[in-house]
Amino acid sequence: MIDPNGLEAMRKTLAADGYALDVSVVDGRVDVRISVADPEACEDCLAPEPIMRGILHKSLKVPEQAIDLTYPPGSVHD
Amino acid sequence: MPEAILDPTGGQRTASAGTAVLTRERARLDGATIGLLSNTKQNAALFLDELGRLLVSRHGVAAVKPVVKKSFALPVPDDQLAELKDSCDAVITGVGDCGSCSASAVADGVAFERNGVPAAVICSDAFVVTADAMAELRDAKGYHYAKTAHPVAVLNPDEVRKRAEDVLPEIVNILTKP
Repeated sequence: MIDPNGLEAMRKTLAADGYALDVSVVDGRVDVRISVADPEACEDCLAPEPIMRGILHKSLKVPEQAIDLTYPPGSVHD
Repeated sequence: MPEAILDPTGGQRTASAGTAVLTRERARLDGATIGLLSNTKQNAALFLDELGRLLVSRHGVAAVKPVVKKSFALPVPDDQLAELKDSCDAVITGVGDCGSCSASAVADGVAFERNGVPAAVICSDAFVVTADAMAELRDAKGYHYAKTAHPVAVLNPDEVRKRAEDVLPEIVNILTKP
């Protein structure tokens, strides 16, 4: 179960950097997709995957190993 | 496990992990050398320079040592951490004005404290989620840092100086108070 307050807070935080966040749960996996909402979004403002995974774990209150994380296509983290 | 602190009134209060990580001996600003670790984000260097100027003029700080972090998205590298540890009595770092840099700024603050250097971190208020999550990831849940309104990057120099002035009392508290 994803923490709804943590999800909303993550959405707002990513939005401040120009990104959108979509999260869905399928068969116990947490599918996290980050996409570009603002063409001026700064690529390096997204935390690298190991750090982002930890942040999502703490914010959404889901196990790190259950997260399938997708960065925007073509980003430095993709 | 939170650390119990004896209370002189006879009670007991519980320190958060974020408090427990702090260097026990806080900084004495009078005569101190303060490291200013800016992270290359727009206005970060000016923000820290102004804080340094105010600390010298109002709090007796003897010198500041500006250092520019190699990558704002990543924690401070060992060589820069060692350089600041060896040459400074305390460090101020920031400005965490994006997701990656707010997280790494908090990671840096915790790292300095664990290396015996009192540190004050500045993040903008849009990124408390990433900053707080990083504190928790570093076993420092509740780690206290100074906040300023987002965004910082678009401010003009006078506005940046005003922000520095506004946050100065909290920076002094973080560096000097247990």
